[in-house]
Amino acid sequence: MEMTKEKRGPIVILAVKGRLDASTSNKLEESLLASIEAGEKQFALDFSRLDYISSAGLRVLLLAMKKLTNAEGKLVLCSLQEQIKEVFDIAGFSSLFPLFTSPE
Amino acid sequence: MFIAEHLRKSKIATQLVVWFLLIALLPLTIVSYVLSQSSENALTKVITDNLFAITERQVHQIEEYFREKEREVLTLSRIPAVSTVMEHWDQAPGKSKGNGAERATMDEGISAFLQFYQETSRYEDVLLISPEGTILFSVKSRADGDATSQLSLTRSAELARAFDRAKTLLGTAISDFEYNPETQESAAFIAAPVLKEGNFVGVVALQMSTREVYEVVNDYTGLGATGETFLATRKVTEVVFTTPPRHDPQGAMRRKIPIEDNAATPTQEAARGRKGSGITVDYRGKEVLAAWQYLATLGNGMVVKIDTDEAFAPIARLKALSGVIGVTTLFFVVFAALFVARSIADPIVKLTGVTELIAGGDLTQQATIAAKNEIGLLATSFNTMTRQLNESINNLRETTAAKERIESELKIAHDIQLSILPKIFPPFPTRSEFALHATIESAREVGGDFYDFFLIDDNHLWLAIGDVSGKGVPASLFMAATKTLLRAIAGRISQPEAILAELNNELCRDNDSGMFVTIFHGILHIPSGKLEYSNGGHNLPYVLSQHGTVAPLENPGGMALGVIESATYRAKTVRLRAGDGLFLYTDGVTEAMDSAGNLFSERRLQGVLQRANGLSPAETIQNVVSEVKRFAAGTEQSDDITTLAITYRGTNTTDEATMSEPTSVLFKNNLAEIERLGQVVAEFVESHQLPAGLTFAVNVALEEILTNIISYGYTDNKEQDILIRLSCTEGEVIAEVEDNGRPFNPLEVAEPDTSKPLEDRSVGGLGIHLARKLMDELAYRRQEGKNLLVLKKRIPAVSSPDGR
Repeated sequence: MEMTKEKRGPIVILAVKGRLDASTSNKLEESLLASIEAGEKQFALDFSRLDYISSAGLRVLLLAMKKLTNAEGKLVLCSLQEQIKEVFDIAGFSSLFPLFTSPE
Repeated sequence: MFIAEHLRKSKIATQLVVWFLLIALLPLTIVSYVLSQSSENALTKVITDNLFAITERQVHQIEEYFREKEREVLTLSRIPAVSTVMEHWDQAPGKSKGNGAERATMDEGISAFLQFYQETSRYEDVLLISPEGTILFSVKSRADGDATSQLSLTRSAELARAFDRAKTLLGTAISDFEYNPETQESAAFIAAPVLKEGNFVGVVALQMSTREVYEVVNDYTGLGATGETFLATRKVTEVVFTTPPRHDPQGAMRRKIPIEDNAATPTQEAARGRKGSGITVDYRGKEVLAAWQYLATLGNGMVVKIDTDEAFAPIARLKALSGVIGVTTLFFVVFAALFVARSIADPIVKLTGVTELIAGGDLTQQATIAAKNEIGLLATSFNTMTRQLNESINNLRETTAAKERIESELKIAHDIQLSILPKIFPPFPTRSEFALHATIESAREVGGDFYDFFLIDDNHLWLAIGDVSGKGVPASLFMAATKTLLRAIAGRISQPEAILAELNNELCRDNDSGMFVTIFHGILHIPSGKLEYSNGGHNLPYVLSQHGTVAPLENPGGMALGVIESATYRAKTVRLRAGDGLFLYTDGVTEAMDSAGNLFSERRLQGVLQRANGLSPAETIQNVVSEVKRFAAGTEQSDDITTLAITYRGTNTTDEATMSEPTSVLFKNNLAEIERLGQVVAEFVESHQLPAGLTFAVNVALEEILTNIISYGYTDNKEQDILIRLSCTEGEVIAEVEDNGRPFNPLEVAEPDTSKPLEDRSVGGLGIHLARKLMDELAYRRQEGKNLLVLKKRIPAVSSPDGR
């Protein structure tokens, strides 16, 4: 799992590549929490290269979302692959997270 | 003889002796010769002068003698009594004229006087001869008692001649010597005319004592032992010796030499009236130094001579002396020469001997030469040189031995190094899904290239190739360490990039030498042909497709290992179809140089690989290696040429039986295992040629189950094994999870309410929910202290060939 961070204006764009599973999710968690702690409010996660997600990954997203919402921040997800979307649907996350097709 | 021995031993000695002899003897000879010649000449002159002096003296002596005789006869002829008697002497012999008594007295008186005269002198006879030639008186006949009338001139020719001359010339006359065979005596006369008042009245004659004459002539003083003087006279055809020669005392008047004879030149010459001197042969046939001349008064030739033997005896002595001196000198010279030669040559011979020994290999030899001269110095320097040479050779020997030791150890190290690489080909003969070959062509020095491979399990083949920086022992040690570590890590970790990362950390940790290594490695999933690989700065291998195209693998990035601890590595995958090949190599191939400095290069390698399409890995490698060698012919190989080639044949028979055989994998109760789970699932799906969508569902489901077990199944910290079995039958994928943790039935977990708003949502139970939703069936049972969960999913009927 690889992450690349980019800042476009006030928005932090985080592109996640690879797998978000029980062994890799904590990396994302650390990065997001650190950015939030640092004061970032607006996040866009680019999932165009995300191949796999399990409940561990979902847990991290949920956590981040909750925190940002409390801090009046915003978290959006972009370019979900089909199977990722399927998982989101099953988990009922599709309604929790704004989903976009592209980072724009 | 020791001289010859010495000469044989040493050329120098011989030369010295020869030159010594030449130098000593040549001048000596010349000097002696010159001296002896001049001495000879001087002596000859002296002797000759001496001879002449003697001759003069003899002549003088003889002439003086005869002059004295003349004076005597003259005196006698002038005695008045004699002349008176002769005047008055009657024809009657013994009687003088006049009266009887006077006459008688006068006769008696004269006779007595003449007798007295003869007795007191050396004359043989005194004779009075009448003018007619009658002998009037002879002392000898008187004494003999002969009558004077018996005497006549006819009895003695010489007397007659002397009488004649005296009468005719009215002066003294000396006769020749005549020889009387009866008496065997010779006689000579001297006569003088008697004058009375101017009238010739007769001749008085004296018979000379030949003995006295001989005495005068035979004065050999100054003539040594062989020298002589004698008189000789010519008698028509002969030369007759008048006086007895020294060597023939009886030869007077008897010894004769024919006048034309070539012998007795001096005698002949003298007798012939000539004067001369020189070295000739005498009447005896011996060589003599002679002087001769003619004495007119005597009518004889006189010869004074001395044997040259005697005359030149001093010279002969001188010559002999020179000879003796010469020979003695010769001996001395030879000995001196030998001595000097010995003192010079001996050290040289000795030195030569020592040198030969040394040349033969014995460097411990020292020359012991006591000479104080330059040869001694030479010997000393020689010894020093030898000692130093010996030292140098010993040092060299030690150094060479040390070097050889090192080289042999290097060779051993090299052999060990090579021996740790797998060398048996084909390495997996029972596996028909692939063929593998690898070679390493070592450069002269031990190098740092390596290759490695092993079957991680039945379905996974790990292969690697690497190149340590540098050459020599450090590189080879680093290579050995790297290879060993790499293999160990590859046995433990499954992701290629993680393997490299860990290896990198290890290498960086204690890397003081600053060495690094480039590595390419990958794991081939044999059933599917999928290769997952990672690279650390190494040149990417070529994929050789079955259609003949050659292209390098995509570079996942990643730098050489051992440089920096935080280096990151990535993995990439490539799917090999049946018939595809992979060619791994080190830069020893592409950077091989020809004699002009050109590199073999990737371009050429690609060419060779293209042309090797369809060949086995072994053949392909052989082609590449021989091409490189041909290219670089003439230059020394500077780097190892390492290659590994693998051809993937694929699982040619899709055996239903093997397909349906379950894949059982053990996982540890460690969240890091989740990653491997993903791989296992993916491989299973691929190898069973199932739709790729299945991978996701199965993976998530199993991950959730496994995570639960890992997180909640155990109360202790012990390592536990969790078994997951995947199988595929009758259109269904079956995953079984078996663990020995706490009894836990995931089906009893309440489903979360997915409709709750964000703030109310929690993650709990979400995982199981996903699993249940993604899979078609879940069944749980507890059996023999183990949780057994079975998940099933139907295989969709419609699937695309590639699955992606």
